[in-house]
Amino acid sequence: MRYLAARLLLLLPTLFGVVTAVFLVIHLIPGDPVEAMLGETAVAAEKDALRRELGLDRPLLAQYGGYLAALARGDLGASISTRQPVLGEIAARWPATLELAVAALLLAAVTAVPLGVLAAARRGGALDNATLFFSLIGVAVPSFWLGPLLIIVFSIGLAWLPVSGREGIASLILPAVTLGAGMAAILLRLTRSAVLEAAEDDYIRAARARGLPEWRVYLKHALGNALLPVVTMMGLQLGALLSGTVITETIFSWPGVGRLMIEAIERRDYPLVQGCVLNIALCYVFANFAVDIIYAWLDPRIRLER
Amino acid sequence: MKRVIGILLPFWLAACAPAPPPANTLVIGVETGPATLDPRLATDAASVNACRLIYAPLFRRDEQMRLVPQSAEKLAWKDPLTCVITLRRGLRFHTGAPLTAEDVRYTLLSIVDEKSASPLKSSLGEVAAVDAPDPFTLVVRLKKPFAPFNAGLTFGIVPRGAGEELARKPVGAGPFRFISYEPGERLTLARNLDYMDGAPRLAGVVLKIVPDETVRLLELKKHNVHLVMNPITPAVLPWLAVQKGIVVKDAPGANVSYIGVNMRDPALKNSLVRRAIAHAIDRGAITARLLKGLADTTDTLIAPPNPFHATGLPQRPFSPETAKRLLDEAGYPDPGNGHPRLTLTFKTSKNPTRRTQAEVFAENLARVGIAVEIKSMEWGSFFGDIKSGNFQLYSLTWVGIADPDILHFIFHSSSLPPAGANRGGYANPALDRLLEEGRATADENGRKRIYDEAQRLLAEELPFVTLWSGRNVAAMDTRLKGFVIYPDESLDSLATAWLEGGD
Repeated sequence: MRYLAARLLLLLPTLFGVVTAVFLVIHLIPGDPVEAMLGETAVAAEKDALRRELGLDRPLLAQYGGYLAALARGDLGASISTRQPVLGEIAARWPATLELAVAALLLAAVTAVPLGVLAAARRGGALDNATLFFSLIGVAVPSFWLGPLLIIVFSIGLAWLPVSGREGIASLILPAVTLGAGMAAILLRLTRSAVLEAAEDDYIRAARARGLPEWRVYLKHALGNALLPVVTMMGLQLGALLSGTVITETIFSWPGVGRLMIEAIERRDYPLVQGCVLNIALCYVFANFAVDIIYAWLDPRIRLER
Repeated sequence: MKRVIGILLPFWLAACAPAPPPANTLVIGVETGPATLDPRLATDAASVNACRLIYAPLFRRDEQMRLVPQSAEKLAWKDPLTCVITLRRGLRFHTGAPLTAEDVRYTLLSIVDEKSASPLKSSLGEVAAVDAPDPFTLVVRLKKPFAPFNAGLTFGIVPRGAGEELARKPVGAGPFRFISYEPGERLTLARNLDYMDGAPRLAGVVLKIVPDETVRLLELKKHNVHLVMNPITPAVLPWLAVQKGIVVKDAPGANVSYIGVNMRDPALKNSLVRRAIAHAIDRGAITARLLKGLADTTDTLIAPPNPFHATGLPQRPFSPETAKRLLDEAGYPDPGNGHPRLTLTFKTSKNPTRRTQAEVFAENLARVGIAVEIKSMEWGSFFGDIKSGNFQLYSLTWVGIADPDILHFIFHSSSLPPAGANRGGYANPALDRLLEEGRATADENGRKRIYDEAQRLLAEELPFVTLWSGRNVAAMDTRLKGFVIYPDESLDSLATAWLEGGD
């Protein structure tokens, strides 16, 4: 419990740094953001109005104070192009991103961890070589190539799955596979090497000496200790997944936060871009926090050190 | 077991998918969804096009870009400051409420209101007062004569009292009524059975948002989508042309690309140098090869089929020899040894298409002895530099050119940024006079004569080098009939189009 409290307390400076960095984003844009946002046909009165609305006419420190105060109220401002609250715009896209992220991560974990353990157990065997081959491909193939390829095979050729869009569970499969493939490849290699490393340890030899069946040695004893790096990697990947996966979302017309950010950038909708960047940062911060907690749960030593 | 799953899986997946849209509903694959569905605030093409399906304007532009009455029956100028518009009878909003002159008055006032952020504001000039003496008559009084006013009457009419909620729950009197909008996914519309020109034959229209072009075209190939409009990368047109059940059509557009010139520059203020540049650039080769024929070279911003397009303008055919001769005359002789006669900077954004074009321009100009340094910049900095006049040459596109009064915004000496877009600082009293006269002349024939002369003057003087007007291209299901490609990419013809075998 004390460990949890300490971790939570440590989050505060991180969050503060994130929020400050995001605030600076709008002030680092080359040129006048108002000019860039309104385009060429805007008249001076419109520009002044927007400048006031964004508070760009006030001194930097006052703007920063106002921004922090608004943030504390959960107010991220309004989108310039849609005139809707930024928070609402992001929240509306979250379910799609969450759905895809969870599906991809589950898919990756469910295929990679068992295969990794098997590959380690049958080290040098046909299965090990096959997984090595496929994980190399999985890491090397970019999603902008894999996505369209899957569409051509499964949607156009076999006509099993929809081409794009978010319409029922069938439409989730191809984007989840596209996104999960690379991740599964990394997790598989990681699981395999971690299990192999653990298998050298004395307690494994002790387990074998006690006459435990091989599957129990691997699943219960080796895997338990090998999970730590795997969980770290999954946490980092979850952060990336939750902040929106621009390429996969774009290919599959998936209405998630990654695409929202791209749309915002294309429309030079800075309040919305700011909100999306903040969202990404928070996803990473909290994914790391979650990893820390799971660590403590998996490895009692971490808890005891505190 | 595996085999059973293999056989059942596709069925199970199919069972999970939602019901397809009803037959006779047209699905259009679009790159982005509308940002707003309030026609007064729409700026991006997606919003403008969606609003035109939902709302009815007083006037609209037909496929020849002529203004034709829609909700209006007629328009008359009582004097240069007073315009009387008569509405058609029996107009109704999608809610069933009658559309009257009061609604038009409300819409117009909310556009020109001081606090309004409507981008349409400047298209209506300075409005002094708007009256609706009876439900079918609207009287608009202007502070000073403004001939482009008629062209500004293409805004969609909203119900009186409509506020911000319209952006997400639109109510209009157009051919299609709003059903639902899921941002990032789709906009669903159903036909308006009470539409003033008769109910559309299509049961509905769905704008399906498919951001990736390849996937958009694959959806078309699968016939999940019936229509995809520009942008279509020219390189995929040959593939599209051989697909079964798909037909590709193109038609002239209203977007004109140009090379902007800084008239304050010591070299470029010499008209001989500008003419040399125009002769040096091989527009024919660029439109044919780089743009695969999806552009027509033009010598004026007011490109065909705009009724104000001027013919018989001075031509600047591709001729490196003429360009070299003009540079000699201008005092930039060939120094020999492969040294350039003149060095210029060409600014462009990071857009890959623009950069490729800039490289071709640079190569063209190098052949006549003008060395060009390309500076490709992030959009914000690029546009900032263009507006502040910090450039020698740059290239951009004017989008959706309709009324010739745009020339006032681009070339009048009072239109220096930020008031206008005279970024090169061009000043010509003769042109100023013409553009002011054009603004104050209500008679269409008189206006045409004035703008013919203005276009001739511009083609003579070349305050910028007009390159080409893009052609609009549409790839569509062969079952889609009656669809017309408008120069401004409007989807107006969907009010009468149909899907064969659909109804």
